[in-house]
Amino acid sequence: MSNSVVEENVQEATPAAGAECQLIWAAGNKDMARQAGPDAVVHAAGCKPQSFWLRAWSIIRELSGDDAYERYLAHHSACHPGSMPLARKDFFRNQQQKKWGGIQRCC
Amino acid sequence: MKKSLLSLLAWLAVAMLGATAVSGIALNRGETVNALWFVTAALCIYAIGYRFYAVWIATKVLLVDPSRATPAERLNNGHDYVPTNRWVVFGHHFAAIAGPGPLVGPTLAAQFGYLPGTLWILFGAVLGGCVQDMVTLFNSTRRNGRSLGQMARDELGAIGGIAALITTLFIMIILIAVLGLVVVNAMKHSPWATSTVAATIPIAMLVGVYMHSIRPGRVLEGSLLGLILLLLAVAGGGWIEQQPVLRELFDYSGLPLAWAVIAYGFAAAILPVWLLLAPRDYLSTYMKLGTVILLMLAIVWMQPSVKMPAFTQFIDGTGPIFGGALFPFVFITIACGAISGFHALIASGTTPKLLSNERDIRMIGYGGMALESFVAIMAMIAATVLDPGVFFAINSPAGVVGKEAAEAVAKISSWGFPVTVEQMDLLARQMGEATLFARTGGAPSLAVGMASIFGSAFGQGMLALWYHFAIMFEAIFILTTLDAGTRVGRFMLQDMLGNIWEPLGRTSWYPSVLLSSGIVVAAWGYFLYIGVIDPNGGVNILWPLFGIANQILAAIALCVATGILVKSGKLKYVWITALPLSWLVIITTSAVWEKISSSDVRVGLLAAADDLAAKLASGILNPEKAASAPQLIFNQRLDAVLAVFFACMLWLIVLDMVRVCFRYLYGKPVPPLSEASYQLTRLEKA
Repeated sequence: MSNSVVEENVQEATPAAGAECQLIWAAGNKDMARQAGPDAVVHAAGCKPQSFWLRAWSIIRELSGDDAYERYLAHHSACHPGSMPLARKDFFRNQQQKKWGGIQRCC
Repeated sequence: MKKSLLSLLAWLAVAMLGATAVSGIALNRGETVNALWFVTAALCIYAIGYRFYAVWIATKVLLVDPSRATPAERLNNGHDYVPTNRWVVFGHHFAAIAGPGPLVGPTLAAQFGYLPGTLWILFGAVLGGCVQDMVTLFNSTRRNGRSLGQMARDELGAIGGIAALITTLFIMIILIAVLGLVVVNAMKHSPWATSTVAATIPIAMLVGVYMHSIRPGRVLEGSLLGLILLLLAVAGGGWIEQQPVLRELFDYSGLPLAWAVIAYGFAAAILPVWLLLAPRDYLSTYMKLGTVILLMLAIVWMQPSVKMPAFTQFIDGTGPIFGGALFPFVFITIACGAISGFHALIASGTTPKLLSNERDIRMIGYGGMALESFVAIMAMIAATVLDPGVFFAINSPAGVVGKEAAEAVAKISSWGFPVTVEQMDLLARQMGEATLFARTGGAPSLAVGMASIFGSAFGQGMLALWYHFAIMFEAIFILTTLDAGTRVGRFMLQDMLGNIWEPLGRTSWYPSVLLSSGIVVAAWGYFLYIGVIDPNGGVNILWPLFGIANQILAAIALCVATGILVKSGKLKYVWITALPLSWLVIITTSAVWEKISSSDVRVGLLAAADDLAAKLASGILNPEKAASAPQLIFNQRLDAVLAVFFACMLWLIVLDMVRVCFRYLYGKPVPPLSEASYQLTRLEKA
């Protein structure tokens, strides 16, 4: 159900919007997503130099998937403006279903 | 100029240090070696491999192109294709490839002494395993993150694709069975371990409910809660151990535990992922990373002495833990940690869809495997810091050294590894266990090794706690592999069954889910059951079979990589994958040959079956043994068939690859390279 919503959203994106949203998505930063113009080139690994601890904390959050929903919202607002994003709970369930659909763990 | 001279000198120093460390551990003939030499040798070898060999492969052979957009950038959908920070990808990749394999394999291979296993882990990884992972990751990245099976089909033809698929399914089944056996052996007659491992299930479910319903998506909060509960469960197990009534509730022999693991595996495969599998995976990942880091710190801090000799007399094939000579069995026993075919499935699955730039391939593919290899070195250290007599007393099955403690210590001491009943009793008491004799499978001896390292670094008083912490740590991610593997096996089976009757292929149709999960669980459950009733401990048969299957999968991955290199016109560099491939073909083929043709009943499966059949016919077996003998005889013949089947798969795909290469070289038509076309990246690296 919620799965198909996401897929529709992906298809809605125009090529131009797609190119732009990739950059913003890569930055993983909501504020950047709002400010960035269509031709902005954004650093892949976060935007501005932060303090060491903030940076470490954001890496831990990203590693664990704790900030996945915020990243999804940033991606969504950049790539599919006007459509409703998934609720946090639906997004999370979706993500886990996807993750465990293939080979995820080794010996 | 000055800088390059400095860096040259620095790398020369690293090379010298590494060479000193390797020759130090290789040539040592004294009583003990400081474990720090192992760590030093390993770090220097990985550093040199990473800095020179991996860079050379990336720039000269693969032609990694940082200006080329990766699939994550081109196909970004915010879900599975997402350009991700390289450290985050590294973390995910490492968490996915590092399972219990590199902990168990080196522990078992320590029966040959510390040296053969250590050298194989170091050089096998740098020249084989890391290269396989990196090249497969590169090939998959250039092909939109396609899986190993798909690449085999596209690049070599249908035969390669089918062989890869079937081998993967079989290896999964053997892998789950042998890991299940390791857990069962760790819990056997140990109320503390059993209650702690049992507690991990409701804890994972609680965390699942927390992250799903109470605070959706708050992964860190949920994991923290789970970790605290897990530590409490370890301490709580010690309390249960003290209570006469509760103690009985968790005191089981192998067979009921095996049935419990089978029932658990089935339940885990059909329950929703958010309830059990996903939260358990979070917990096991943190546990794994935390414990590996802790173990490394403890080894560096304590610098324990390795007491095992460099070689033991068991290199001739008479070892008690598993039968078989140094060649080829050390290379089969240690698969994960040196070269593991399973990694090719991860490197061609999730990881290539996350890479934001091709230049990260070296760090993630080569570096990730080097780190896993380092975990294997630490497992080797943990096994060899034990007194050799203690090591053999824990790991030798009752079928080899005898059921009685006095009998076992006499036999082990007669090999030149002195150990006493009092020593083993004291150790068992310190670890909070009833006995440590014949606790095969590698987990208990690794836990004793870890507990003694942790104990000497962080306080002797808590040995029992450390021991059960180590058991819990191993069990939790073995069970994660068991859940995840059963599920993957189910998907693969459904995929195949869907070709016979379409509804069976629907992954959400409940009758098909139950049927296919049931078949997969029954398949590994069968091998687990046989392993438990086998008086020789089962590990003796199952682990080599698993090693063979895993190495054959690695050979398939290297076949695909070799075929792609030749078809890309890089014939002069083909040896980077062809050499490890040839080595794997040699060791797996000779291992299979030994397994079917050896007349030694502890090595040859058919010889063992005939031997048991003769004993059964002459009526010299006691009633208990006579009852299980027909099953064991059937199983050994079945395992022999399986081993031959694996070898046939291997040769099939090798010959197919050679055929494709020759056709290419003689200008005949071959399947075209399936690489996606070049597109300039728009991402800029921070």
